[in-house]
Amino acid sequence: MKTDVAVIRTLELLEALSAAPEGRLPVAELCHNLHMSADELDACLTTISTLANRETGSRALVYLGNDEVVLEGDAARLATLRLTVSEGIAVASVLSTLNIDEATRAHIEHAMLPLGTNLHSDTQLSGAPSFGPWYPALQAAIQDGVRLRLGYRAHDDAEPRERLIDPATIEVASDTAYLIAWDLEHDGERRYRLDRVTAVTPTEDSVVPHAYSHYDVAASMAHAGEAVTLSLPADALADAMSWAGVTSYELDPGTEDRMLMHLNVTARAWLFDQVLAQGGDAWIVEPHALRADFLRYVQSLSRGHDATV
Amino acid sequence: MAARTSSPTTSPTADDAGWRRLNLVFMLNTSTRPLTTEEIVTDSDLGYGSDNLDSEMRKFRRDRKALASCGIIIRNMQPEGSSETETGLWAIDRTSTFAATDELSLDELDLVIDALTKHLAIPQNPLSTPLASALKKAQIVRAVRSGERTTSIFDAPDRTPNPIVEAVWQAYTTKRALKVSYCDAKGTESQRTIQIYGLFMQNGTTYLTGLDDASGQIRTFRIDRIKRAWRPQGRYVVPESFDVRAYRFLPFDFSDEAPVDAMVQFPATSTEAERATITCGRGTITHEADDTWTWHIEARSLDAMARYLLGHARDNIVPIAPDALVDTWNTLCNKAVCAHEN
Repeated sequence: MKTDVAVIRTLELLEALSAAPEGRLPVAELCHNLHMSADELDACLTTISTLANRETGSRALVYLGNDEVVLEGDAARLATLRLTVSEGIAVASVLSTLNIDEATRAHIEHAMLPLGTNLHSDTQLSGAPSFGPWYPALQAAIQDGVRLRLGYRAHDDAEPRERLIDPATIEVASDTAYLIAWDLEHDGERRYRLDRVTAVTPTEDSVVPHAYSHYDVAASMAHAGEAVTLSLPADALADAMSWAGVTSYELDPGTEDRMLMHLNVTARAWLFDQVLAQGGDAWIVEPHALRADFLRYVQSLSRGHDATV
Repeated sequence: MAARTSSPTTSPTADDAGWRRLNLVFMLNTSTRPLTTEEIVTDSDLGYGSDNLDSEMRKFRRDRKALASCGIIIRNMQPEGSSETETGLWAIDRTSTFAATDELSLDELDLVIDALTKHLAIPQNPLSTPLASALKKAQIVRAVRSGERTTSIFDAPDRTPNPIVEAVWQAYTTKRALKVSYCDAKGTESQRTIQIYGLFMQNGTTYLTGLDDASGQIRTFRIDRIKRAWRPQGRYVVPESFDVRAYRFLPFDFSDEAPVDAMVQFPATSTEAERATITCGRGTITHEADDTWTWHIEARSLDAMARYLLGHARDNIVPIAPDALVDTWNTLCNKAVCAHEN
């Protein structure tokens, strides 16, 4: 190991052993979490055991025993270090995306981040998925198992409406974060975009067990979505392939420059917008009834926005 | 059981910098008093002690700097202005070095741990390496704070470090220029040295923005198109006026046409987070008397902008100006309708 890496790993090892119950940790866990091979761990333990303070007589005592690393005595105990500058920049950036109150954020930063350095980097780091302003409340409810009244505006809703839910977990996709929860009114699993949540109100009730599917976004769409076939220009295929729910595609028969794309869709409004954005170059093939729904959707946009259709 | 209790005489050689730095930390952490400069730089058991005092002083200075980068702050406890050689009294600055574990509640720690875990799940997150090590520390602090006797104090998601992402992050945080081999969208490979000013994620891809020596301009590059990165070197300063949010691109940025001032209306029911997702932090947003929101943004392609807005029509956002943008939006709608009426 390079010198600086060896020093960092040794400090991390001492921190971990100092925090562990009875100063013991399994070898496998240490090697895995500190990214060390067994030989590197061995070298690290050898180094630690040579550390000594002649004046106080302190000696570092650490040994391998029964697949555990054991730290004995207090001499080599190391309190948890503050984050490094690199870690501090990253954590400060994360904290800024969570919409936690300033006092809590300052409290956390003062306790863990390097002191005396301005690590805020809003003008240099950007684009992390939006967790919306309700993340701390949702995270606390998930932690404590509290049933919630959730204000949420779905794609098909003109106004936010309230839902009674049991929150389960928060999942992160590339551009947004989702709350996975059980909708008690509809008795089913639902995904809610955190940036569309408008209110979170805890109830007096606790969550109850539900049969969650444990699907990720794509699998959830495949399971619960509506099968749709689109015809679109071949040169639009590359961008369309990034849509969640795409299952397959093939050449549109009788054409040389058009493709048929098959996908599962859970939000019709989203699909209709992608078709609209193609400006007549893409159209819904199946199910045929969906074409009439598309026309009604565009008419509703027109009524609202004075478009000529 | 294999206890290793080697005596100092069998310790690694004095020029093993890693061992010397660890021993310095151990000495200062277990000492009941600060150590003088002389005590440190003349101690052969500690790893110093050669006849060349200046050399040992420089070695001690390098070791302090290296340990500071690991988070161990060794400070001269003498008043400012004192000479290192004459009256230096050295100790670990415990306030600056160690986390204030007792100040944080378990709820705050759980919030931090949960947030870091969620961010580690973001694909191609350029912050993944520092977040992973920060998560380990947060978990250790929680273990200490809670006193829970768990069988494991680590619960981090498995990840395979990406050496290019790590090189980019190191270059960015140390503000040292990064030489890379880069392959553009056409497949052309080139070498360039970039002073990284900022990083952003968009549509599942991570980008860096910085001063590019090949063009002499601030350019944006996809990190997943970097084929090779050399060790960062050559310090630089990010201009104070730089804001990476101005470099986040939207589909209507890519045109040779002159930019046009456009205005888009968000409904009163839109949330700040929704507006931020669509605007990517570009342009300005004003709150109107009727509680709607107006996005003011420059567009180089009105056709691309109309399509972008139609792609978010379900969010009830509509173009307001210029008339050419509104007309394009309407025309695209009409064409989509015609394609479904047959």
